[in-house]
Parts: sequence; C-alpha cells; structure tokens
Amino acid sequence: MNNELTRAYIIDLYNNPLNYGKLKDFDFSKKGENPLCGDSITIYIKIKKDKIENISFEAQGCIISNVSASILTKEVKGMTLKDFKENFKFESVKEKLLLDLSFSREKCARLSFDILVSLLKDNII
Amino acid sequence: MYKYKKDFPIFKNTKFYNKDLIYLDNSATTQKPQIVIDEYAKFYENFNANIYRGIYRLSEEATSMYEGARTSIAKFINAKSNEIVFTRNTTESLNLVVLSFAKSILKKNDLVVLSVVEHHSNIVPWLILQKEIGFRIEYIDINKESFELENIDKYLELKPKIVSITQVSNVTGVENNIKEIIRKAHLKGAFVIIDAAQSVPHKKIDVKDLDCDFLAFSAHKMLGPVGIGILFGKEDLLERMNPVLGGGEMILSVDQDSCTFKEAPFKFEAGTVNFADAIVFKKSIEYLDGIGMDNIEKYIKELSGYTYENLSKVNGLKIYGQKNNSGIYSFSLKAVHSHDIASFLDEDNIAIRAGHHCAQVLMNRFSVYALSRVSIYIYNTKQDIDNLCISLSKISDLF
Ligand SMILES: Cc1ncc(COP(=O)(O)O)c(C=O)c1O
Repeated sequence: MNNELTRAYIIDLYNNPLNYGKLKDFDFSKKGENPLCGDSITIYIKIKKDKIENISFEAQGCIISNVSASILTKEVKGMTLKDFKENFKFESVKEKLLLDLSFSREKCARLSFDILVSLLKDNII
Repeated sequence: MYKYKKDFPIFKNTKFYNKDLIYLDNSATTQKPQIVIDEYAKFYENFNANIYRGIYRLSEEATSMYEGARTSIAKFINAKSNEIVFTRNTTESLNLVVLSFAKSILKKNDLVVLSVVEHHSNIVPWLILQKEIGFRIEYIDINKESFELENIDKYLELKPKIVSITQVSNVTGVENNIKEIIRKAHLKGAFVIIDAAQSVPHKKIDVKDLDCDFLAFSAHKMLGPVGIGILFGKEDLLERMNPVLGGGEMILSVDQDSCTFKEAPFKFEAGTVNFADAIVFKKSIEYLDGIGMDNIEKYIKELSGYTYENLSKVNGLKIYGQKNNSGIYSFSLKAVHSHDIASFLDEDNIAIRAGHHCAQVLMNRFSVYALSRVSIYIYNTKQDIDNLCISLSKISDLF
C-alpha cells in the first residue's frame, strides 16, 4: 500500500466492496481458498446469452484479496465469455489495484481471478 | 545493548522507502554481525579442505577447526563434545531423535506426550512415525491465564515413554518450567526431548542441570549461519542409537554384506558435513559469550517487558499470551488480517511475521487462523518498539 492516496482508495474499497453478497439468481458458484493465509472467496455468476450478466462475491480474508475481488467483478460484469477468455488476464485486475505487490501478496490478489477462471472452465468454457 | 546494532551491517545497508530497517522477526532468524560474516571469507580464503579425509596439513587444520566448533558448542550448553551432533537445523535434530531413538523404543500401544504449543517440527515427525508404528499421542494443554503448559502430572499418570516439548513457545514467548517437567517425567521413567530453538538464543542453557535426554536448536536463530543445527543427546543414549543416514565418514568398515559404524556423534554425520558453517557458528558463540548470556537475558527481559506494556496500549490490539522474558508476542489488531498488518508495517520498513507460525495446533487452540508476531533480539531498542507501536496505532485508526 504504497502511498496515502492509494491506501485511502484501497481501504475505502475494502470497507465498501462492489458486487458483494450472494446473488439471488445465479447459475454457478465456486469457493476457493488460499491455505497459506486462510483467505476464502466464493464467486456467484449469472450467464445470459454467452455474457456474464451478473457476478458477485463473498470473502473472508485480507484486504488485498477482498479488494481484488471487487475490482475483478466490476471489470468482468457484462463481458462476453469469449472476450473474457481471449482478452482478460490477471494483469487487468492488477493494474487497477495500483499496488506494488510482493510475491507473497500477489497470491492474495490472484485468488478471485483464479476461482473465476476455474468456475468457467468447470461449467462453461 | 543498543550499541551492538552497529556490529550488524544489514542495518546500515538496508533501507526501504528511505527508512531504517526495524527488524522484529528474530524468532524466524536473526541477523549476523560483521565478524561472523567475515569468518566465512576467512575460512574459504585460508583453510578450506574436506575434513577427516586428507592426511595433508590443510585438511587436518579444517578438521581440527570443525572439532573445535563442536567443543565450543558443547561448552556453551555444558555438554561433552561427543554429545553434540551437527545437523542442518532444529527440525533435522528432532527428526533424528524421532527416526532413530523413538523408533527403536516405541511399540504399538505406547504413549508419546507433546504439547499444544509445539512447532510443526515437533509434531509432524511424530505423526509420520505414528503411521508406521501406531503409538498414541497426547497433547499437554496450556493454562488459560499463564499460557504455560498445565500441570504434567495427569499426563504422566498415563505412563508415556517419551515427553517431547518446547522450552519457549515461538508464538506466545512463554517459557515452560522444563526442569520440573524433566524431573517428574524421569521419576515416571519417561525420556524427555526439549525443543530449545527459542531458548538457547536468549539465556544460558545448562543441559546437565536440566538433565534433559535430548535438546535441539538452530544456529541461525542466534546470530549464526543457516544450515547448522545442533542435537544434544546424553552420551549413553546416542551411543545406543542407530544412524539414520548412511554413507561416507560415518563408518569404520564396509564389505558386501555388512558395515560397522563409528562411535557417536560421528555415526550420525554421514557424507561431507557442513563444516564451513559449523566453524562460522563458533564465531557467533564467541560473540554471544563476549557480551555474556546473562547480560543478554537481562536485556531481553527488560525490552520484552517494555514491548508488552506498549503493545497493550495500542487500541484494539489483543496479545495471545502473557508478559514474558523472551520478547516474543503474537497478537491480533481489530479484525485486520495479519498479512495486511505485515504489509502496512513493511511500508515503515518494520519486519514482523504474519501467519500461523508453523503452529497450527496452537492456532486451532486459540480459534484463530493467523496472528501477527514480533520477536526481539539484542540489537533491538526501545526506539524500535516505539516506532512499531506508532505504526500499529496508525493501522488501528484506519479501521
Ligand atoms: C520453537 C521452534 N522449534 C523449531 C523450529 C524450527 O527451526 P528450524 O526451522 O531452524 O529447523 C522453530 C523455528 O521457527 C521454532 O521456533
């Protein structure tokens, strides 16, 4: 958390997460964990016409994994599955995170992205 | 004691964000003084040769330096030289006792007593051997107030063959009265193994006075090199134990069908050993002795009390443990994840440990997943603790 502004932005996003909570109407969900620190995240997703119509998450754990999940869900909501598969990379979340992540913290940041990729792989793509 | 900080070059060399390093992860590993670092170069520039093997002068010199290190370490804990086995670390020392000594005496329905504060290195080797033999394991609980191990009597009534426990917890920093535990266990005929990884760096340890059967510690936690651990074992016990690793230098003779081993401790040191680090370790011991272990104990005790009092004042901070003499404290801060606390502190160039501290049994006992931990050593100062508490208060204010 490299400077005061970034810190304020991150903590605000942590206290007021985007797309938080279980969707009332979802097609698939998947829970993932980082056994190292005990973080766990569940992602819920609603697909319509090959598009991510709605997506949300629930999380327990550190700021970085929470905030990354907010950013991820915001970025991919409305995206076509094809677009996600071909163009969306973890780096797209990382850029928005504005943090200079150490190796160990990068795992926290990746958690929600990895869950989403594996959820889609299991069920759709 | 703060005057010793200047002996450690890392504090001059390492600045992040233009801030001085405040190193408070000494339970994980300590920094090294310049004279210890220089000892490496001195050895490789002047004395390097494989030990025991050569008849030539250089090899004999290196051999005598290696054995000299063994003698110094023996003196340091009041043991005999042939009671000191060089290993890689505390973990390997404990594994050696489990795989050789324990394996040879344990049977299916026997009992081994451990405790809930044990580091994984004093649990996992037992669980591995348990799969093979099927003995039982009981864990001594801790007293809710003092955080010391509870009275051992009821566990001794179960007639354990072995009691294997830590002297100072690497999570709570609380010291157990092992002398009393050893005395009682011996009266009931149990052998006692001590994990002294967090105690030998902090105070004078006398294995004769303690009367423990085995005791393990690591050089890297007491200003020494990584890659050297010590297993102390009573002479007669080491003598009757079988080697775990076989190879060069640990044998007397080998033919196609059989071999005979050297006496202890040499039969446990197969292959080319880490003689360079052992020799460097001697320098760390000399440095510690130069300060005096009694002075170190006094200093750490005082700074530990100061740390406890100041941590306790941070809003929302909860210490899992009691005021102790080791300067090791684990804590939570409001609901902030320990990894976040460590990241925030890192911005102020303050290094602490976050996670389960290789003590998941204790974390479960506390019903937490992870904690933050500070641990001090001789180069830490009240100023370090003040800065730590200022940074922690800033984090506390954010949430
Ligand atoms: C109490 C205790 N036992 C054992 C160990 C293991 O030491 P090593 O990693 O040097 O084998 C540690 C290290 O953290 C420790 O704190």
